[in-house]
Amino acid sequence: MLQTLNVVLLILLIITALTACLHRNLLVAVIMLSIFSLVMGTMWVMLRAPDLALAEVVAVGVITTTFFVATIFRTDRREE
Amino acid sequence: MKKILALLLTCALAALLLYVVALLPPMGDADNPTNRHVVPRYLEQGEEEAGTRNIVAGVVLNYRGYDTMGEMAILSAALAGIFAVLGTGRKKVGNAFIDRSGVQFSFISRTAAVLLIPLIMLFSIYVIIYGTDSPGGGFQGGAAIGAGIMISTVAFGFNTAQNRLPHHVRMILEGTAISAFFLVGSAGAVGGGNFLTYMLPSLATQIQATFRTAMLLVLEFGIGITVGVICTSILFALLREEETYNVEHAG
Amino acid sequence: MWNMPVDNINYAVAMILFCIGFYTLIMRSNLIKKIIGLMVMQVSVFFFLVSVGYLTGGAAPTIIPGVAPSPMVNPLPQAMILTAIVIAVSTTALFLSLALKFYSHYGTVDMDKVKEDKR
Repeated sequence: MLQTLNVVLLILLIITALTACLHRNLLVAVIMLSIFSLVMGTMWVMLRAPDLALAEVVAVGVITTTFFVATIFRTDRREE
Repeated sequence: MKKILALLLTCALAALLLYVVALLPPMGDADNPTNRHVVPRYLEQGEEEAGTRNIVAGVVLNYRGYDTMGEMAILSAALAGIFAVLGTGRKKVGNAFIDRSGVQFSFISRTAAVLLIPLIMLFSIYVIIYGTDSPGGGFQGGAAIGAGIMISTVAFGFNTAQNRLPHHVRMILEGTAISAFFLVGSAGAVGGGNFLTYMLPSLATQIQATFRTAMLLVLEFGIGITVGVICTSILFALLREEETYNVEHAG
Repeated sequence: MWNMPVDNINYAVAMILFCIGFYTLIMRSNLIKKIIGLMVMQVSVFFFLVSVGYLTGGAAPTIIPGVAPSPMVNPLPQAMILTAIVIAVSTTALFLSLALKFYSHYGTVDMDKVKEDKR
């Protein structure tokens, strides 16, 4: 059961990372980065590291995403 | 052409890394070299030597305390770099695009912010205080404080948020972590031990443990406040637009 | 022949994520994409390092009063990755501010368009 959950989370990790890196719309890429950090937070809990789960979700998922959105709104929003 | 070359390079790198991964011992094995040499000492004597029930916090604050001091210095250095590039905003209150947007701050976001921000602040202070006994700690709580202030910036406007936390207030709060580390470390050195020793030999034996818990709390709060205020300063620097803002095009 | 223990799938996915981030960092010309690639690389390295310290059937490294101590996972990589997460946030913020200044000077965040202009 836990092994299956592990494999599902790993597949989700790869899918969100690929979408974040390859999508042309920068706003979509940044939101996918935030979802990537959320899935990684669940992965930390499965690896028995609750401190890291808290730190990752709040530092990458909230703060870095806000920095990205603030920068994207002042520069180009689309296109590579 | 360049794309195919880069793809080949990445595939070669992936093949090399996966080959090395296959040679590693299986994950989670009880007699891996990582679980045998140093770790039993940390797990068995961590609670009485570091004074915390959360062993990760004990390692971060006690066994590797210098690393945490350097981490606060890295945050301050990043803030100094951002101020050097984007300006400190000390002179006047700047504008931001979120103040000028055609859509007014909606009733939904303002109401949600009014309900959520006190709970976020309460939760972050709880995480900081209980950082030594349960998962959490200074950085997690501090980042949550920063997130709460960011939500208030987005919901109520940039000028309102900057009037609440002007530059001279933020400047004092950003130095809290390094000052706390210096004070606690000097207390250790003056009291008869080394720098950043929490159990001072010159105190009475009954109050040594209480003194250590108090010092750890001071450090956690220092780290928390500094991380929150530095993240807020970085967001203000990224949002702020000066009045003289020219975009130079080449032709 | 190359046979990987089936438990090492965490390591393999960490390496694949590293290569995805690496490709994004070197091939995409947009600065914001490069920063996203750097972030994915950093998170993959953290994932790998904490996975090395995992113990099957271990508990989180916290001593709960009243509960008999059971074998715990390795707390040392977790402490170091906690510092590393802070460093990742700092470098990302600095890189973003540099990208903003780049935009205010050249008018675009795309490196390829800048090279065409300066020819």
